[in-house]
Parts: sequence; structure tokens; C-alpha cells
Amino acid sequence: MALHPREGGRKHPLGIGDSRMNRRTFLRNTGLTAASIPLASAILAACTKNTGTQVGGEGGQVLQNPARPDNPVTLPTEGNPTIADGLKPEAGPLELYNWEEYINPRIINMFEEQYGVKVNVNTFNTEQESLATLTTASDINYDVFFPTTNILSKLAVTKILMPLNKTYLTNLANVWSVYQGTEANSPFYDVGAQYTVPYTVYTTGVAWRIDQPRGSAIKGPSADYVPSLDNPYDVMWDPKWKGKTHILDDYREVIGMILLKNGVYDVNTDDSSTRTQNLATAQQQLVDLVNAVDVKADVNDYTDMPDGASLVHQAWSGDMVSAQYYFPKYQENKDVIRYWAPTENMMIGQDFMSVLNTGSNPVLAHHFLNFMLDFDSKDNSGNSMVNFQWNGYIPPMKGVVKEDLIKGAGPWQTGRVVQPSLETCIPTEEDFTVGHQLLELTPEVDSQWKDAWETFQTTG
Amino acid sequence: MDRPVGLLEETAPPSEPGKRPPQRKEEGVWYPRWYWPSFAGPAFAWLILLFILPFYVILSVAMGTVDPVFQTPIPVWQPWYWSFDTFKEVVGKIFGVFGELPLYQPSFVRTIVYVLIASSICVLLAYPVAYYVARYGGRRRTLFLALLVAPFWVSYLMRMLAWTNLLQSDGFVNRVLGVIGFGEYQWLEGKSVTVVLGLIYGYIPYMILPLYAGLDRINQSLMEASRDLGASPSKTFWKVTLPLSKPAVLAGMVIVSLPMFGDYYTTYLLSSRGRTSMIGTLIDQKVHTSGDGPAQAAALVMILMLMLIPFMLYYLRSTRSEEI
Repeated sequence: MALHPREGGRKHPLGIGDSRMNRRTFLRNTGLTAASIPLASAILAACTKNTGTQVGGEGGQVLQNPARPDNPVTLPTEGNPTIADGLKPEAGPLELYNWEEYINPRIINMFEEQYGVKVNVNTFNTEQESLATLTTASDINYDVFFPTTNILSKLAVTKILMPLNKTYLTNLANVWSVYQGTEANSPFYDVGAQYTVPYTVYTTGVAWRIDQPRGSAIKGPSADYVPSLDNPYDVMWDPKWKGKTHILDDYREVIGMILLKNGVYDVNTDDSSTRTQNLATAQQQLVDLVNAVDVKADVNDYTDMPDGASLVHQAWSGDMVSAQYYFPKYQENKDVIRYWAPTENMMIGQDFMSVLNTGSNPVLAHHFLNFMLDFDSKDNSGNSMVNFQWNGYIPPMKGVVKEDLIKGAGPWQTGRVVQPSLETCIPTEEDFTVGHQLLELTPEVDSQWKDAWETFQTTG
Repeated sequence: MDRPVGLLEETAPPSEPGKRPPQRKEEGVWYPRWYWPSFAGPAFAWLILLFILPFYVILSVAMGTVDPVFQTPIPVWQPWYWSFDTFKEVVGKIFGVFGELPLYQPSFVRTIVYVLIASSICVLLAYPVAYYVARYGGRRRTLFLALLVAPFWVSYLMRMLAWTNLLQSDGFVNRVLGVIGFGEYQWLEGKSVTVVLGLIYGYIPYMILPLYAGLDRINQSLMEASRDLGASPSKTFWKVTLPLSKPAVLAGMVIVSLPMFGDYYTTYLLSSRGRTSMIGTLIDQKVHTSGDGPAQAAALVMILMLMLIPFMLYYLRSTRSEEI
């Protein structure tokens, strides 16, 4: 019987509806597919570098008991040698691995000129991204990394970081004594400062516009409004600035802020007896925040505030200093941003510079760290301040005169670096004794924080 | 017995008993068996390297584990070691089962609704345009086509960024609305309508082109026959043109819907609020999270693909029986 083309004479190009696949063909194809999976998986497994990091002994202890002010940690250096004294710097190029937009291009040029080498700036956007690169990429050759306390111990115990040879770091004497790692004074997260030198310090607080930016239907809070509130964090939940209130897109910073708002100073939720309740409250307040002000989460505080996209923004202090460079051209009065952080019990932190074992220029990397720690207290000058002038984050240098930063003294600048009204954006050494730092969490606790944040992300 | 004599046959050795002779073409030119299938080689290699292999990697991440120290994903390549825990968690968060809250459900429902609305409006807007160009474009057809393709010359990101300026509180759109007596509307503060409009604007060229191609291929004599038999222009459209253009409409719907389902930057640029988050937003957020976040992202990708399979099968079935 002849078939009509519609009935079976036509074959679909993809074989759909093809009734001519008999059992033998089916079994053959299935067998071939089944046989190819082990082969493919074996090839892929052979190409994979990371099969799971195992850390035992001293390193394992460090990871299980993250550093806290009352639990100072000496990061292990056994089996992880540093460079010898007195070596000549390599020919480069020096590979930096830094946060995006976090180092002054001018300082890079200055280093290149002084050492006659090329410097490449490689960037990442999230800490997670940097970890993924440093732990899985097999072809990286980064020399200098800019870690935070969140991941410091992990990088040290797995020997991704190289211990520092301080004979190359003569400018370390310029930094606050706590960062020098002496016997008398040492950072609790890296006793002896074996792996880190400080890069910048900052607080996290609330920024607001005191004017009505062009394009905004409403005016921001007045200059004295936020500090005058019983609880200034409440401004974030105030529906008067609905649609114009932004928070940082960082679950640690946001939940940490809510904990502080609630008078909970255990910002790392170390107390297991209150952790679940505190995080549940924070989660509910995040939902309230969405309902009250249509809050938006981003890390563009340094552009959102000057261009008027937000009138109230949870912000990093350094970003508010540099925000002055991002005003639209038509904005004549640039003294319209205010920043508040408590004088006590504020959120405070620091970023570091470290040398990586992955690089091929460890001596040059040490020289770079030393170069960045350059500071002259006589006139607030030096390479560290050139960098501050651009990114707004102050380096923790001994003898920085806050007033001079505001007045514009010093040969390294042509104008004022910090608006007088933003004096609160310059943290001091003393602030670290009364502030709270977001520190490394165990995976289990971290998971609880993320669950609270996920509710906010998905229910908004 | 008369049979065509081929070029290869003159030089090729006679086939041995028990062996199949080489295939031959009727024109008399002989080709080895692998000759014609080998033309599919590049496409086959492309499919393996850029689709099947990445798909397997995503599956291995979704079914994999997490580095105990760095909380980064570790793919597990051997299927016999796969863990379905993350998959189960994600399914639980979508459907509110396995003891999970349905946290991801709003994003899934929202995505389906956004895509249905946006792709439907794309059809409604694109059809008249494509119809006009195909039937009445005449000598200017090339010009019209060039104008239709023009938006492709600007990247999607740039076009969306342009909209963020136009939709500002004091942007062009609000100024126009003000002139005609409407109040200021906060387009960029988490509004679903803005995201849907963004999707329509971003993807509508992808709808116009297949519609144009389909409409242009409809045999004009069929419409003339309809008119000759007494059908009105509108009846001809509904009874002849529209049914014949159904495969093109379906093709356009597939072409715009598939990227819309995975879109995340439209809502990111035009809203950035949880209340307009889509499946793509969830995937993006999870990729940038430590712990089992990347594995969840991979599981979400898998579920998204599974979700689209019935859609694709419907399309293939429809086009198979209704090709123009």
C-alpha cells in the first residue's frame, strides 16, 4: 500500500515521529550514549583542578574558630616560605588583582615610572568571584591581592597568600600601630601581620541628599534631620523617601546595619542562643523595608547620591568622599551630601594588600606594597594619599591630620579632598576600639544569613 | 544490464564478495558513504562543544558539591556520584514542597506572565508592520527592512540604558505625559509595566523579521482566489492570510520568548527590585553567591530548560504540519 507523503513518506529532519527506529538502533544509540558519559566525565575530571580543599591541623583549627577581637588568630606559615631578604625586584609585569575602580590609575603610572616595569590591573566585582578565580583557575599569575577579613584565613591556610617579608616593607612604620603586627600591638585576625598590610579603612553608615536633585519629585531630608532622630537608621524605613531609598547590595552590610539599628552589637551573630531570633527579626525588617520604601539594592552609592537616583542610601564612607567627582555638570553646589555613622557601635572595617603565591614577581610585589604605604606626616603627602585623593578611602596612616584633608593642605592636592560636611567619612584609629567589624562566619552561620537575605531578594 | 557508469567506477576496484559496494549517485558519480554525512560535521562539532558539553558541565555543577573551605562549587563529573539535594531544594523553593518555602515561585510565575504578555504584544505590534512591508512595501521594501534591522546595530544594553534616561522622573517620557495632562510616573521604581515595555522594545525586531519572511512567502494567488470567490478583504485575511502565517507567528514567538525567559538585565536596568525579579535574576543572584548558590543557579538553568521543552515540542509539532 502506497503511503501519502503526509502519512509517512516525509521524514522530519530531527527524526521526530520517525517510526523506523527499530529496537536494534535504539539499543545501539543508547549504548553509545552510555559509553560516552564515562569517557567524557573522565576527560572533564582530568581537566579539573579543584577537587575540594582539605585543611587539617593548625589551619583547620583556624577555620573552625574564626578570628574575633577576643579570639586573636595567628595564621600558620609552616610550609609556606616567604622570599629571602635583599633580593632585586623582578622585571614584571606586575599583576594586581583588585576590586573594580579601587586604585588610582595615577599611582599605577607612578609605580611603573619609578620601577621601570609594567603593571596590569585585573579586577573582580565580588569576593566570591575572586575566590573562584584564585582557587580554580590554573593559569593565573596574579602577584598582589586586596582581601578582606572575610576570606583572609582561608587564603592563608591554603597557602594562596605568601607570608610577607617585612624587611622590604620599610614604610610599614607609617601605618597605625595596630597594623604593624608588633608583639605589643597586632591585628586580631592576623597576629604579627604576617600576611597583610592595610590598604584602606572605612565605616558603613547612612548618606542623604539635603536638596531636591533635578528630576526628583521630592526633597531629601534636611542636614540635621537624620542625626536628630532617636534612631537615625530609621530614616531608611521612612516612607517619605519611598522610591528614593537604596541599600547596599551586600547581605552582610545590610543585615549588619539592621542588627545595629536593633541595638544588637553582636554583628557576626556569634551568640548561638540569639542568632536565629536576631536573623528572623532582621529578615522581617527587610521585608518591611521593601513595603515601606520600595527599597533598591545596589553598590552604586557613589553615583546614585550625586546624580539624585537616591536621596537616602546606606553607604560606605569612602564612596561618599569620592561622590563629589560624580555630580552631573549642571550641579553647581556639590556640598549637598551628608553622611552619618554612629560615633560608637558603628560598622567599621578595613581592606588589605597581600602577596599571592600564584605570581612570578614576589619581590616586586613587596616593593609595590611598600610603595603604597608611602606617607609623609609633615604635609599629609605620599603615595597612599594620592590614592586616597582618587578613591576616597583613607589609608590608616599615623599622623593624618583630618582638618588638613578638609582644608586642602598638602602639596599632593590642588583642592580640598573632603567636603567639610563629610568629616564623618574619615574614621580614626580610636573608632576601631568602639566599632564593630563584619568578620568571617562559619559556613553554617553564613547559610542562615543568606537565607534571610534570599527572602528579601525574592519577595521584594 | 544497462546501468549508469560513474567516474569512480572506472577506477575503483571491484567490490569484494560480502562487502557493500560504495554508494552511487544516479548521475553516475560515486561517493564514499561518509561523503554527504560529513557535511554535517562542523554543525555536529559545534553542537557538542558549545551545547552538549556546557550543558553537561551545568548539570555536573548542579549535581555537584561545594568546597568545604572556600564554599565555591565543585562539579562532579561522574553521574554515579551525583547528588540531587540542590535540585530538590530548588524544586522545593519553586513549588513549596520538600519542606521549603516557595521563595522562587513568584519569580517563576512573574517570568511566565511577563513573557506571555510581552511576546503577545510583540505579535500584535509586529504583525501589521511585517504585513505592510511584505504586501505593500513595493520598491521601498529594502529600505523598510534596513530600518527594521537598524536597532540590531545598537547593543541591547545600550538601548536599555537609553530607556533608563528617557524614563527618569524628569525624563522625556514624563515630560511628554506632563504636556498632555498626565502626572509624573515613577517608571524606574520597581514597576512591572516598565519591565514588560522594556522586553517588548528589546525583542520586537526579532519578531518582525520572521513574520515578514513568513508573510512574504505566502502565495499571492491564494489571496486572489479568495477574493475571486467572493470573500471580503477582512475575511480573506482571517481565513487565508492569518492561518498561512501561523508558522511564522509561532517562529517569532519562539525567537522572542526563549531569550525573554532567561533575561535578567532588562529588569535589572529598569527596576532592580525584588518585586520584578525574573528567573534570570534568580540565576544571576545565585551565581554570585557563595556556598551552594552556583549549584542552585545551575539547577535553575536546568529547570528553565526543562520548562521550555514542551514549548519547543509544540512549536516543532505545529510547524511540521503547517509549513508554508
